[in-house]
Amino acid sequence: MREIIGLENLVTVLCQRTEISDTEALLSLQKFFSVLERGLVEEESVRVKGLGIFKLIDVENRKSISIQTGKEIEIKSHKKISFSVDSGLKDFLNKPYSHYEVVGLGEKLTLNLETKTEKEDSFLDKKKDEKGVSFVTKRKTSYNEIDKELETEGKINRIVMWIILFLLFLLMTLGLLFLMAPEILEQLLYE
Amino acid sequence: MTNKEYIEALSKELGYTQKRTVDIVATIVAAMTEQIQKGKVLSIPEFGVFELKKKMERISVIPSTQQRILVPPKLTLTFKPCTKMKARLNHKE
Repeated sequence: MREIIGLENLVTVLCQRTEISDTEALLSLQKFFSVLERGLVEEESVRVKGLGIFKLIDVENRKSISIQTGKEIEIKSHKKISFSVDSGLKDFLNKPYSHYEVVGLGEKLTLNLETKTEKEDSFLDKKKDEKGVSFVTKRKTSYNEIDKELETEGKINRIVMWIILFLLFLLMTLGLLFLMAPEILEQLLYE
Repeated sequence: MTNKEYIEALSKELGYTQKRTVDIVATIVAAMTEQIQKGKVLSIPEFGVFELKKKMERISVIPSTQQRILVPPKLTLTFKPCTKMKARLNHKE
């Protein structure tokens, strides 16, 4: 389970770095978020440098089905917050995955890895019709599988290399033996 | 509200100069980033929760070329407002 932290932790950091008192730091933090909320209510969009953009989006009323009762219910129109992360912060947080790149899949790889059931196929076709764009939501491929494939290829290559080295070593030993003591080799061959 | 307007509003509320407010905002954002990067969930009372979530790799298709591509996994920062804030925004409180 992930550790949940509150404002106290940020207060300590703020006190240390900006040399302000505990109460001032707490007040600054409270105002930081209250001004943000006020900006959202008044102007429907707030940009905080280094954090991201908070936007207020209008959601129209729609009909839905209650999960508990199965009856049709109406969800009233409301406002929801959308948050998009600052691009700099996004890159900073994604450092652990920065070495990954988008890989184009060849036909062979696609056929090997995509074994969908009929149910999934119908679901995908439905999605394609709705959106007008085809996309795969369920898949059997992963970077781990590709890594495993590459690992087995590497293992085979290493075994072949060792066999070649062993044969070379054997030939060199025989050659040296022939040069240094040809009579031993002759004896071995004639016996 | 742009970042400049936000800083102006915050400096008025705090009674600090704009330069000092910029420093404080930068420090708060840096502290938040550090904690989130460590995998901690940042819960702000009366505001909401900031959490880092991992999105798994997926196969996608480029509509124009129909080429299948494997999109790598990525980490995204999510924000979920608390119920009180949602109620305030919808004038229910």
